[in-house]
Amino acid sequence: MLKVEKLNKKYGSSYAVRDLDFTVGSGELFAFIGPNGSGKSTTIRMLTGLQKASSGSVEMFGEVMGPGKTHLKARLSFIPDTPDLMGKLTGREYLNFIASVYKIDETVFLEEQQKLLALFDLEGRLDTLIEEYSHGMKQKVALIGALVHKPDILFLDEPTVGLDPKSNRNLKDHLRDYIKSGRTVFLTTHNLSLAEEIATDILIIYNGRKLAQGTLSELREANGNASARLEDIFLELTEVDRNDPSDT
Amino acid sequence: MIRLILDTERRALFNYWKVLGESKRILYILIGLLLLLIPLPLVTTLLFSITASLDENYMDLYLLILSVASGVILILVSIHFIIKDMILSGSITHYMSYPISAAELFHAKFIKHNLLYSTSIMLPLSIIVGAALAVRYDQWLLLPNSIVYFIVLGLVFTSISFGLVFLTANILPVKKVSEILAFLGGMSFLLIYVIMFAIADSFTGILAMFPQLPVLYSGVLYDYSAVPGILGPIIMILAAIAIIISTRFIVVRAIDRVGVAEGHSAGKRKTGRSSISHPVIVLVSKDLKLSYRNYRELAVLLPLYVLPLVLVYFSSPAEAETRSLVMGGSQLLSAAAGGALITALYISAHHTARDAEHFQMVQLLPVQGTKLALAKYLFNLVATVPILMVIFTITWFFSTAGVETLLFMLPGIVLVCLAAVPVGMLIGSSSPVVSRKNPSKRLDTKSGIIITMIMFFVFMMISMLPLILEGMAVGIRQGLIAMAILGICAIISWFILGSVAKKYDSGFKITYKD
Repeated sequence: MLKVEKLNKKYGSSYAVRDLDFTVGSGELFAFIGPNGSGKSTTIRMLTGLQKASSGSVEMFGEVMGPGKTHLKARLSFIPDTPDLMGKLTGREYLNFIASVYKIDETVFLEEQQKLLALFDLEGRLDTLIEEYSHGMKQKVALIGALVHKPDILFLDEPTVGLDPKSNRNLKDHLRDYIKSGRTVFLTTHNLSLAEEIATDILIIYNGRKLAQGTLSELREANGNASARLEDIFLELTEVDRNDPSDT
Repeated sequence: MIRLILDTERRALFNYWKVLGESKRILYILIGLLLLLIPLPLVTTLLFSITASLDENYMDLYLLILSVASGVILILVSIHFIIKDMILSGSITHYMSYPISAAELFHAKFIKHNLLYSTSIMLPLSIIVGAALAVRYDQWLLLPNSIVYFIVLGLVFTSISFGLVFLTANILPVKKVSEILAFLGGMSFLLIYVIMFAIADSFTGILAMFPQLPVLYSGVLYDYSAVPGILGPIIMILAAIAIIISTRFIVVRAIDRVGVAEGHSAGKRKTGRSSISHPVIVLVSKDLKLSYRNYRELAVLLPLYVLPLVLVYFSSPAEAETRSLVMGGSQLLSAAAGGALITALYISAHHTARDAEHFQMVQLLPVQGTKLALAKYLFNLVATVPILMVIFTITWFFSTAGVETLLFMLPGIVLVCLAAVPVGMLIGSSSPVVSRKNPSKRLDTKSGIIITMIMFFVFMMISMLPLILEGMAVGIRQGLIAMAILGICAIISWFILGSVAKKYDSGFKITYKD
C-alpha cells in the first residue's frame, strides 16, 4: 500500500530525512515515532504529497506519490497535529464541504456522519462556527472529516491531543476496527503507550534516520528484554544514537 | 508590576527590531530620515507660521480644529494598535495567566500606548503651537499651558480609544470584537473623508456659526490671564483623570470577561442541512461564507467597492450649485471600465491569496488545480460583477448619460471583470502572505506595488480620457469595437487561469509573517 525507498529531504546542507526505507501494508496500524525535530512531520508531508522529496521515492497504491496526484489524495486523509480547519464555517458546513469534494454518495455520507458524530459525542453541536469550538471539539470535527470518506490510508499526527477520555477510547476502538477492514493507519505520536497498545508495526526515527522497525515483540527481541515497554526501548535507542560519535 | 510589564513590552519592541532583516532595518531608517528631513520641518514651519500670524478672531476655531483633527487621527491609530497589541496577539490571556491584575495590565498598556501613539505626536505639536503662541503674545506661560493641554488631550484620546475597544468587548461576542472593530475602523476611515468633504463644503457656514459659541481657549492657550490660565489646565487634568478611571472600569470588566468567555461557544446558528454538492459549487460557497462572515475581510475590501465611486467623482465636472452628476456617456463608461478593472483586480488577488491561510488543507483535497482555479474564478466574478453593476446602474440614474450608455456599460463591466479576474488571481497566487497579527494582509509588497501601479495608470487614463475624446464622435460602432477588444482580452485572460491552476497544483510560495 505504501512503499518508501531511499527517501531524503535536505534543507541547505542538513538532512531533515535521510535514506528512509519502509513499507506499510494493508490492514496495518503503523506507528511512526521519534523525538521532536526527528523528521516525522517532514516525512508525512512527503508521503501525503504536500512536499517534494530531495531524492528517493514514495509509492502509494503502486504509484509514485507527489503534488497534484489528486486520484491518490482521494484515497487518503491526513490530520496534522494542529488541524487546518476553516474557522468561519460551521462544523456541518465543513463536513458537507469535505463530503462534496471527496464525492461521497449522500446516503452513505449521512449514515457515516451520524455514526461518527455518535462516536465522538458531537451530535447536535455541528451548527456552531468552528472558530468557536474548543481544541478538543476541533480535533473531533477534523477526525470526522478525515474518516467520513473512509480513506484507504489514514495519516494521523497526534490524534488524541485534546480528546476527552471517552472519545480517546472510542477512537482507539474505531482505529482497531478500521484496520480490520483492510485499511491502513499511519500514526505519529509522542504517546508511546498508545502506540504500544494499538500499533501492528512500529518505526523509530531519530535525526531523520530509521533506528529500528518491527512489531513490539520484534523490538523487544532486538532489545534483549522480552518485557520491555516501548518507552524503554525508545529511550534506550535514541540515547544510544545520541552518544554515537559516528552520527552526523 | 506595571513597571515589569512595561519592561517586558520594551524588550519585545527591542527584540522585534533586532530580528528584522537588515534590508528592512535600512528601509525603516531611510523612511525615518526622510520624514525627519522633509515633512517634519515643513509641518513645523507651517504650523508655527499659521499659529503666529492667524487672525485672532479665528484662534479658537483654529485650536479647536487642531484638537479635533488630532483626536480623530490619534483615536483611529490607537484603536488599530490596541486591537493588534491586546486582542489579536492574545497578550491579555498571556498576561492574565500570571499573578497580574486586570487593572495593572490596563495601566501598563495605557502608558505604553499613550507614550507610543499619542504623546509622541502631541508633545511636538504642543511645543510648536505653544512656542508660536508664546512668541506671538510674548507670554512664556502659554508654552507650558499648551504642553499640558495637548498632552492631557492625548491622554483623553488614548482613554477614549481603550474605552471604545473594550466597551465593544463588553457588549459583543469576544472573538468577534477585533473583526467588528476592524470593520468599524475601515468604515470610519471612509467616514473621515465624508466628514472632511462636508466640512470643506460648508466651511463658511461653520465660521458664521462660530462666534455664537462660548469662548474656548482665550486666557488659557492664547492671550494669557492668570485665573483661566491656572484653572484651565487643572480642570482638564481632573477631567482626564475621571475619564481614565471610567475607562479603567470598562477595560477591567472586559478583561475579566475575556478571561472567562474565551473558548466558550458564542451560541448556535440555525440548524443546517447535511448535503452534497458539486465540488466546484461547494468551493465557491465556502469562499462566499468565509468572506461575508469575516468583518475584518469586509473592512479591507469595502473601500475597493467604493473606489469606482471615487473615480466617478473625479471624472465628472464639478457642478456645485446644482449638485447633480453632470456626466456624459463616455465619462461614465470610462469610469465604469476603470473602476471594474481596479476592483476586480484587487479583489480577485486578495481572495486568491487568502487560500494561503489553509493551503495545506487545499493541497490535500482530491481536487485538481484546474477545478480550484475555476471555482476561485467563479467566486471572484460573483464577488465583483453584480456589485459593480448595481453601483454603476445607480450612478447612471443620476448621470446625464443615455440608455445606450447603460446598454454598453453593463456588458462592459462583465467583460472587464472576465479579463481582470484571472490577472488578479495570478498576482494573488504568486507570493501570498499569511500574517497572524494582521490576518487581512494577504498580498506581499511586490504584488501591492504592481496593483498600485495599475491603479495609478487607470486613474491617469480616466482623468485624461475626456481630453482625448473631446471633439471625437463616439457612437455605437466605436462602442462595439471597444466591446470586441474587451471580449478578446477576456478570452486571452482565460488562459492565465492555467498558470493559476499550476500554482495550485505545485503549491503557493507563501510568506509567513509574525
